[in-house]
Amino acid sequence: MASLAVVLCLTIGAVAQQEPIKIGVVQALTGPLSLNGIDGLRGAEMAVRSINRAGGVLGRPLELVVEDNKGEVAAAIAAAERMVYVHKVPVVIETNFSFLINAVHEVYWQAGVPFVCAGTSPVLTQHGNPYLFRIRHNDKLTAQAAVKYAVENMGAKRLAIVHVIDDFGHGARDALINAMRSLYGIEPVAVVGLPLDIKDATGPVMEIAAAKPDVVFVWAHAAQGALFFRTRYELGYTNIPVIGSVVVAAPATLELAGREALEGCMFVGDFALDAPKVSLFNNWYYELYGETILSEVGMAVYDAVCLVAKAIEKAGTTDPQAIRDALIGIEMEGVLRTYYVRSDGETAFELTIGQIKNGKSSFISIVRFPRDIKF
Amino acid sequence: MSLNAVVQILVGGLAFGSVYALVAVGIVFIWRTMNLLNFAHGQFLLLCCYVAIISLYQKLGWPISASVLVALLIVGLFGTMFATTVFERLRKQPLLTSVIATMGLSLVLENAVLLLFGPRPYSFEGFLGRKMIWIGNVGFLANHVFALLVSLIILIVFASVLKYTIIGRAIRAVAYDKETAGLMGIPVPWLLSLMFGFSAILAGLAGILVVPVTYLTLDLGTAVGYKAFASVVIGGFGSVPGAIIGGYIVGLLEGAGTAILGTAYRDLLAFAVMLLVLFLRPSGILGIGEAERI
Repeated sequence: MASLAVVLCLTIGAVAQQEPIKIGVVQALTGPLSLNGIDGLRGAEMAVRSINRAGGVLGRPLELVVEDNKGEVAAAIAAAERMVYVHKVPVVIETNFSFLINAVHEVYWQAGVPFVCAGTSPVLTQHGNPYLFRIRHNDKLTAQAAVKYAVENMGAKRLAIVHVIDDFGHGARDALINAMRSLYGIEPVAVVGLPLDIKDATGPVMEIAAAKPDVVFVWAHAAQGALFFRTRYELGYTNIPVIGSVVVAAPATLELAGREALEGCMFVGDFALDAPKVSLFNNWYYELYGETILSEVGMAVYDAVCLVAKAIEKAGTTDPQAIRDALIGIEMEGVLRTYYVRSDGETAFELTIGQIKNGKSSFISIVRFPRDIKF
Repeated sequence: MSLNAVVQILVGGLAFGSVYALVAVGIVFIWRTMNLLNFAHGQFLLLCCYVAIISLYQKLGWPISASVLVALLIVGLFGTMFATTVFERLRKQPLLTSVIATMGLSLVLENAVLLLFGPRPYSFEGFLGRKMIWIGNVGFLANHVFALLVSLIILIVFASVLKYTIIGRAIRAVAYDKETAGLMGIPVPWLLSLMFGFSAILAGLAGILVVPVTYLTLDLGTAVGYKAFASVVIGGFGSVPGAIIGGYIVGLLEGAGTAILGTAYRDLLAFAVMLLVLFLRPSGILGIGEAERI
C-alpha cells in the first residue's frame, strides 16, 4: 500500500513538474447569463482536477485559461480573439449560448483553432466551420423526439410552442414546426415567444390557454422557463400538458418555479437528475462548491474537457490542426451520454426523456438516433 | 383572447406600472435637487432586495417584515452615504460626466451583487403567497394586486408629505432654488442627502413589491430602471406627478402591447408612445419648461 502511494506521488509529482497544456474556457461569468457560465467553469475545473489526478495528458497537467464573455456579443468576440491570438491556446471550450457561438465561430475558423461548444441550435453546425464541435444534441433531434412523443404516446393533435427569443429558441421553434409538418403534416395552434428579459408571463400563459392545445412545447432558459411554469401554475392552467427542453429538468428551474409548478411536466434533453452518473457528478459538485448543479452546462463542459483531453492524447501533440483531426471519430462515455464525434461537429445522438415526479426529474427512457443521421 | 384574459394582463401591466412610478419618482427627485441623472438608481432596488430577501429572510431566517424594514434602512443609509461622498462631487461636473459616472457605478453595484450573492435567480413568494384573488369570474394574481395597492398608498402618502408638511415644503424650496432655500435657513446639504436616501428607499420598496411577481435576478435593477426612465420622459422630466403618471402609462402600455401584439412586442407600444411624446411635446406630459437642445 505504501509503495503504491509512493508510486502515485511520484507520478503526480512528475506530471506537476511538466509544462502544463493550456485549454481555453470562455463562459458568461458576469452579467445576467452567468448562471450557466459559472456552472460551465465549475465543470471545466472538475474535469481538469480529475484528469490531472489520473496523470494528465501526454504526461503533462492540464491548465485552464479562462475568459469572460459577459453574455454579450462584443465581449464574446474579444474573448475568443484573446484566446487564439494572446493566450495562443490550442483548443477552446466555448459557451452554451447559440447566439454567442454564431458570433464567435469565425474567429476560431480564421485562426484554425478547434473549439467545443454547448449550444443546441441546429444552425451552428450548418456554418460548415471545420473547427466547430458541439458537445450537446442538435435541437432537430429533440424536436423530433418531442413531437413524436406528444403525438404517438399522448395522442395530441393540437400542438403549441413557447420559445425564448434568441438563436436557441428560434432554432428550436423552427425545428419543432418542421418536425410537426414533416412527420404528421400538422401546424402549431400557437407560437409564443418569451423575451430574454421577460418579467411577467401572464400574457404568454393566456395566449397559450386561448389556443386550447393538447400539448405545449416549452424551449427556454431557466429564468424565462420558470416564470412561464410558475404563472401557468398560479393561473390554474396545469391541465395543459407540457413537454419541454432540458429546462424542465434543470435544478434552477425547479427551485425558481417551485416543484409543484412543474409536477407532471415531461422533458426531452440531456439528463434526468436520478441517472446514476448525473447523481455521482452532482454529489461531487456539492462537495466542491457547496450547492447542487445549476444546469446541464457544468456536466456538458466537464464532458467537453474530457473529450478534448482524449483528442490531445490521440494526436500526441498540442498542434491545433492535429487536435481538430484527432477529435473526429472519437467515441467516449461521458456524464451525460456516450459521444461519437462526426466530421460535421455533431457528437450527441442520445436523448433522455423524463418527467417531473414528486418534485424530482425522473428518467423515463433514452431515445437513440443513428450516428449517421442527416440534418 | 377573452376579455377576462385581457383584463388580467392589464392589471399585471398596472402593477408593473406602479413599480416603475416608485422608481421614477426617485429619479426625478435626484434630478430636481441635485441636477443629476442617476443611471445607478435601479441598483438600489437590487441591493435592497438581495439584503432583505436573500441575506436576512432566506439565510438568517428573520421575519419578512423585519427583513424588509432593516434592508430599507440599510439602502437609505447607503444612498445617503453615496450622496455625501460620490454624488456631491458629481453634481459639480458636466451632465455627461455624471451620466457616464452613474452608468459606471451601476455596473460596479451589479457586479458587487454578483460577487456577493452569485448568479442564481431567486424566487420570493411575497407577503400574500402564491394566491389568486377573484373578482366575479376574473382571477388576479394576489401579488399583482398587492403591488398595485401598496404602491398607490405609498405614492399618496408621499405626495401628501410633500404638499402638506414643513419638511415637504423645505424639499420643494430646495428643488426650486437651493441658494435661496439655504439663505432662509434650510440645511440644504443635509436635506439633499436625506432626499437621496429617501429616493433609494422608494427604489427598494419597488423591488420588494416587484420580486414576487417575477424573480430576483441580477438584471432586475437595470430592467426596472430603464422603464422608470421611459416613465420620466413620458410624464415629463422634472415633474413628480408626471413621473407617477408616466409609470402607470408605461405599465398599461406594456400590458396592452402584450394583449394586442403578443409578449415578444410588449415594449413596442410603450416606446412608440415615448417617441410620440418626445416628438409632440419634448418636455413630456407634465414636463417643466422646454427640453434643452444640445
